[in-house]
Amino acid sequence: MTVELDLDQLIEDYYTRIHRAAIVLTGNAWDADDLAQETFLVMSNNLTRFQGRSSIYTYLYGILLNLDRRERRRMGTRRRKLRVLGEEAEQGRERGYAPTGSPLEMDEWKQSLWSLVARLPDGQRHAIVLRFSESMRYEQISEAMSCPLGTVKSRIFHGLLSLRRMAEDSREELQQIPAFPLEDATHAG
Amino acid sequence: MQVDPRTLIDDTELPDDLAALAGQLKGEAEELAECYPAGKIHPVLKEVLAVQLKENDRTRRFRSGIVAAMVPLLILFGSAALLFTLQSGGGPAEAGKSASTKSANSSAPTTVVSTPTVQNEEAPRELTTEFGRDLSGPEVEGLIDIWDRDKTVIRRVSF
Repeated sequence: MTVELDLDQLIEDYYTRIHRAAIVLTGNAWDADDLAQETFLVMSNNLTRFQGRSSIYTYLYGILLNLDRRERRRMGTRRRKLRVLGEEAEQGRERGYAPTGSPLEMDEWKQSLWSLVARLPDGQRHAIVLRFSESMRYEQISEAMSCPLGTVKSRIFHGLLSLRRMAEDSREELQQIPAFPLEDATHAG
Repeated sequence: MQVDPRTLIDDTELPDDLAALAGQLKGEAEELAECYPAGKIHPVLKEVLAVQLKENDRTRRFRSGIVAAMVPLLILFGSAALLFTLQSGGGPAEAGKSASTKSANSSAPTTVVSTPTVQNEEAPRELTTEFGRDLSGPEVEGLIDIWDRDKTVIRRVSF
């Protein structure tokens, strides 16, 4: 089956959406740019393999999720290595690159629920992003993630349950922090 | 309330607290998208994409061309091989030839006694043939054909 694509139309239709999902997934504008652009690059490379059985829309999201998973795995490996080689981690901080990625993360993202979503397992995280950031239908999510419909629904539901638990935990942590720092209290008198 | 997630059809079926979380996620995703809008795709990348798409088109056309060329070739080769097999061994021509030999043998039963005997499956077969004095030409040809065709037999001729 031949698939004819108009590049300009493709970029106009999908680049903004893919970029938005990438922002929510990474929490960092630079990584999101890279991820969105790489998604299109991979798509153009693998277009001969695209059978046209799914829509190009879900195909692009499938690529995005795979790239995100690969990137997180790579980051995880790097963090583990840095943890093992503590000294190297210290040197890394001195040189200015961020081992945990946190300094590059956007404040708006860190304060949002999406930063908690980032702690969920990949399957739940991806399903939640496609559902609540991209407003995709369950059937489309199932196509993009190449998994059954029931699994998608289950992942979203259990992801939300875990998210609620995490939100409650972080709320409790916030309540334990005193409203005014101690040094302020010393100045009060 | 117990919820079976697999039966969910819409977010409205979610329990209230989860539906509230879902609403918050949607709102925050929109805010993030507004704060950090997608810039224009890099012109170099766009060029690369255009080149790759063209390249893919060319590869696809090349592949389909090869497939289109291979199909008639395969059919030709297949039919040629089939014809060759029919003509050279075990085909109707060969069957006709052996039939004529048989009829020749039956026309002169007193002079030629041909007794091919197979001793066992593994060992080479032994073909003993007795020739009479007045052996006709077709009969000799038939015997030579049998010998040529069956290479596993041990040929022994007694007069």
